[in-house]
Amino acid sequence: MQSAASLAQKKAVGFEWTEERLKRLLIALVIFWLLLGIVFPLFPLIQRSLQDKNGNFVGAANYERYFSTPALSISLTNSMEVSLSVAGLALVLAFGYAYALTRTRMAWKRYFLLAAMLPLYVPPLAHGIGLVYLFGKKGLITTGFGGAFEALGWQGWDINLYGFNGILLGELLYVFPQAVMILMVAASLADARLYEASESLQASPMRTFLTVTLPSLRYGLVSAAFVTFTLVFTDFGVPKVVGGNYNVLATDIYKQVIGQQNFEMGAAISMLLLIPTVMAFVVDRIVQRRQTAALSARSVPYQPKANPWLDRAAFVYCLSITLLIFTVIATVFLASMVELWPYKLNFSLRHFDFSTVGGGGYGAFWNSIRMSFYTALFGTAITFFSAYLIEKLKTFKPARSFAYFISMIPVALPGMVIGLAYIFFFNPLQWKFGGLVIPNPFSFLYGTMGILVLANIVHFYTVSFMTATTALKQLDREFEAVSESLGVPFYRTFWNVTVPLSLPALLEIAMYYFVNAMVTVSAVVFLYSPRLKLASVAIVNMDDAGDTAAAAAMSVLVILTSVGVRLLYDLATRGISRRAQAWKAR
Amino acid sequence: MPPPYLQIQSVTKKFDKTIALDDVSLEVQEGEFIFLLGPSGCGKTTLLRIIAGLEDASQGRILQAGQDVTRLPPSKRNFGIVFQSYALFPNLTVFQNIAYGLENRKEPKEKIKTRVNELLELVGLPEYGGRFPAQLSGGQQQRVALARALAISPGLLLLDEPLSALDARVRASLRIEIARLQKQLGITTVMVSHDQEEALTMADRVVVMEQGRVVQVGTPEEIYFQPATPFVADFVGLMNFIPGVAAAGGQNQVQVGDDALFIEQPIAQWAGQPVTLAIRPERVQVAQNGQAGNILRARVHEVEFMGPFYRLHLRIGQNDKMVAYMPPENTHNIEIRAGVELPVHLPPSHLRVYQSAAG
Repeated sequence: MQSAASLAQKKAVGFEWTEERLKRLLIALVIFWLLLGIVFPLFPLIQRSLQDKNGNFVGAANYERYFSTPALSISLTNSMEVSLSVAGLALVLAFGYAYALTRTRMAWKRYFLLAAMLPLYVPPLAHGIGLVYLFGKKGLITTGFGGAFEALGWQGWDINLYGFNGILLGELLYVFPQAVMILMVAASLADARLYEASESLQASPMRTFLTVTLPSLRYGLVSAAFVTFTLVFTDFGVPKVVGGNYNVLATDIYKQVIGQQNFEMGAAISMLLLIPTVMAFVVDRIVQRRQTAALSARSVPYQPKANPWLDRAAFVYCLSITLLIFTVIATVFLASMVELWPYKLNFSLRHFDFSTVGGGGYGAFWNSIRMSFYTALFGTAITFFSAYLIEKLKTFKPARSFAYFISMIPVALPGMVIGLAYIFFFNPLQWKFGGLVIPNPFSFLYGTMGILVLANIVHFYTVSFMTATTALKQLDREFEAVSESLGVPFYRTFWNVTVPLSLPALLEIAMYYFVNAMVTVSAVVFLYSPRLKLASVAIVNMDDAGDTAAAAAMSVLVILTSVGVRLLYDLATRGISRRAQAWKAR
Repeated sequence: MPPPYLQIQSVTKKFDKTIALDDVSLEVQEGEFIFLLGPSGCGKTTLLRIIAGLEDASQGRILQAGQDVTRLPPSKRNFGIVFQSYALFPNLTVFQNIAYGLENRKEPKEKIKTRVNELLELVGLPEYGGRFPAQLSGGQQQRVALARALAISPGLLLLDEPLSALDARVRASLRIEIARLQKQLGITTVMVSHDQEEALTMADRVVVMEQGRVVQVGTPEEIYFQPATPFVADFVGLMNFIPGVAAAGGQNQVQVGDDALFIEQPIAQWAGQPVTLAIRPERVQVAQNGQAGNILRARVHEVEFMGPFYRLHLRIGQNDKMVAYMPPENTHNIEIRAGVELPVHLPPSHLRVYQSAAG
């Protein structure tokens, strides 16, 4: 309890605490933007799913209709089926790959790592297009290389691409890098002492694997399973291209909203899309909370020993997967640069002339670059600053915890859900809740670059936020205390110390935002306006219209841009870090 | 006596349900070097952070130079602080680190330069201004942190376990240096430590804390020779504890088994009650042949040769343990080995008596 006197004094003195007030104001602003970008738009989405076309409340009618229409509800089963299959397969494949990269001494490790990450720079649709060119009706393999081997009696090989098989293959490519990354992080946290102990006790390699390796990886495995499941469950690009008649939830939302203008059913399916992803997110959180630190300060990093047979097997394994990844991407490149796949294979750049096809052509491509640039610029600034305020300021603990909690939500939000929610939230000139009518001060954003950038920032927020938070946690937690004792305002130390020290993380986040904004479709497909067409959406539309070669050409432009920016970034960071991080040199 | 420079008045700190500080009061004179000493979790760091304003007190007041600073943010107080981790800004040079607080005050460049060089000289690193912290040793980094804290000429210097991350040799030399610097500048200093040796060698006064409370305040000599409680006795240096019973008649005498031991401390208030006798290992003497008075029969259980002395693990009576430090020349030609009987003499002036906890 405080005495009345000390309370009165607190008030009197409190007025001078301008710095304290500034901190509170900034934290309030962070919460405001998080609510505006993440939480508030979800309400109209829920509301809309419970309404009919005229805005009347109809309870669960949309959901009832969904489940009583087999043509619709089959998608839920399909989505579950394909997501679980991909998650299971990806886990096994990525585990082998990550194990080879971290626990063997095979050759070419660096290149295999780069190769595994390559699909990150490829729009999911492009994987689909690559598969179509290989295994589709006129695919290279389906037709036996355009009939080239007919003389040898080989008629080609039809894997029945369109449907489950195609989605499975495409999604595997799409989620593979994510699964490998998670498992690699988990696998690199090995304590060599455990392996030495196991070896000294004369345990067999199999026993060591089962009792030391697998248990230490179980949290990584769980995490990878949930991440891949969520990615596949919510992906729209791959099923759009190779799904055929095999409907999944994400394509259903698209069909309902874009094809039939049935926003209410779209909202209801979005809610269905949300349930498993939120569940996966919650379960993953609970499981991860039980994880105790895998490495103590006394752990000894594990150094794999040479094991010729294992190393060779690992090499062959990684090479096969790498070839698969390369083949699909190379096919997209090739197909975009020949006259007519697979019959006239002479070199031609005619597909890069987008003037005869829909989608928006080079205008859309430049828009995408601009959008990705803004997303990277503003996304990095807002993400890092939010993370800083939440992690480093001592004020207002409950508010900071709340902001942290909201920051975790976007990882469970599928892009299509964000897109649809943004339509409902930003489009109307006024919001109606029951009898309440509130004018919408943000409706000016609708149809602008602003809403696209905001949607992208929110869509990829959580991972960026975690990167920033991790980097900030590594800074001495007394920097702020020292500055305060020296009478230096926090924003000065933020600018002079925190930002320079976090430069690698900042660039990493900017990179992540740029590449993802460049390739994403799901969040922006509902939000772009006819005046603001986008490259990734153009790929959807051109593919829809049957201009697959043009779609491939646009994919190539997107891939080249992402990879190119990544290379520029590597070059630039080498220079920047050397100068800005001279202090690291001893 | 002038009014104290720093006054801590009934400060209590609660974290959720645990009480980190329980009604702590303390007065520090200007220019004094005060140590907050105690095991980890005793609340010493929390108290330091409350003095700095980095934590809020749940109750109580802090007065510095006569001004109530309890509710002031750290930036409005007048102190410099050095942390265990040094918290040097790694991307700034030594010079920039030390100048950090001065630059913020918009002082002229020349003045800052003079001041920083002065400080570098003071901490014995005159040539190091252009280096980055990562290019310095731990001890050098700690000196830079000290210079940075002193740069703004604070009225109060707070040191949060500044030496505990250093290796023993550097620690010992920095110990002397910090103490010398503190006296030279006459700056009121509060240092947190769990190292009793540090406290004994550096402090003007030591504040021993246990579970959020102050258990004793005194000079290093007082703390060592007249520990107020068995906890203090045991935490500061080593102490032997022997159970006994205070003489029923109120004399200064304690019965231990069959032997009666005289003591100087008056213990009439515990007449007839169980008490605990305490004596430091270096005060235990080997009884000479024919010596009488304050002799206990003991048996050698184990012998460790430590170089300057033997560390003897003795057994008294059934199984009470006692440790004695015995320089080789004081063994009176008695062969010291496990199993031998060894009567020990416990000088009355070095025996302290505490009321038994159970009593």
